[in-house]
Amino acid sequence: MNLWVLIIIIGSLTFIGRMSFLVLFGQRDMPKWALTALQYVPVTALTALAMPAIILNDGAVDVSFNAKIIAGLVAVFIAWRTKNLLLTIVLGMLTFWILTAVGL
Amino acid sequence: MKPYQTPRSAFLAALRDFLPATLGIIPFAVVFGVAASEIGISTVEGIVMSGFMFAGAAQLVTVELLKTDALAWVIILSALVVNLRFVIYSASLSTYFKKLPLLHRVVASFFITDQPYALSIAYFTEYPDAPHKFWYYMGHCAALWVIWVICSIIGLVLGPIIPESWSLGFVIPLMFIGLVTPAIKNWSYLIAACVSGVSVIVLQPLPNNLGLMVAIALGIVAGVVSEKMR
Repeated sequence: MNLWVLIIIIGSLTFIGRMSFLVLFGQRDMPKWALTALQYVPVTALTALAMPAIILNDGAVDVSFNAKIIAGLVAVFIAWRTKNLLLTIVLGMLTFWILTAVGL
Repeated sequence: MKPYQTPRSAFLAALRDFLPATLGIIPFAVVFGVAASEIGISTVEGIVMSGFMFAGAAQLVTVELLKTDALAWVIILSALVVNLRFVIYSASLSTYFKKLPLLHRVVASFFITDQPYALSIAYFTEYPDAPHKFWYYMGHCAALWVIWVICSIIGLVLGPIIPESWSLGFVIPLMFIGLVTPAIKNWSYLIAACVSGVSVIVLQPLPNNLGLMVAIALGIVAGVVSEKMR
């Protein structure tokens, strides 16, 4: 599919989602079960997106002692202790570069 | 003086209040621009993604999945799943904006994103009777939109100059980690994240990144079930 079509579809559907309760559904409240389920979306979606980039190496599972996994663990630790996105990325990336430089 | 008494003062105050958030926004937007240019997305296409989709995580998801040749509907669905949280924000903002004219509510909807939502709600709960809540919210939105688009352009232009050996693409999973980890507030969230993370690896052989959708669904179910069992 053409990238332009993709951008327009994702953008438009996202806009409709943003309008859901502010414009489309009037004053209705969100059903409680939906609210409960939706709370888990960011955590599950972002984890599912991050994991393959850390664990997979050319499509194969690689849980050896490698630069990507160690940098990922460092990032988890920094994010947990500091809740600082910028610091997480900077220290994670530095770890990755250092480990790659020493040949891990 | 809080709460701000005129539309102008509310809007300008929000521009100022948004400043600390830019620290996280600027590198995020630059990373998107660099990542997009690295997979061959043109500057114009990248600008429209930032200006119209206006959703950092979904933009990075789109880039990441385009890299893996995923099917179009998997990319669309993944981006939308990541943006589902905006539906919650829409519901939450509607309690404050229900008396606004339709056009105001449509405009407010277009700009729904994490930081303006979080910063505005903090102000609304501290000053429930504050006038001109819409303009305070729009100040945050305007600040974010302008910075987001400009820094995306910087990334899109810088991308082709940065050598591939820097592996800047690895910033994307690191950013996802930085966003997920603080959001794990209790055991239910941890279980949801673990189930989703393990499932996506186990289900990786499924064609067209289908495993991604299934893993997210399993994670949500695990989270809800563990919450009910507590």
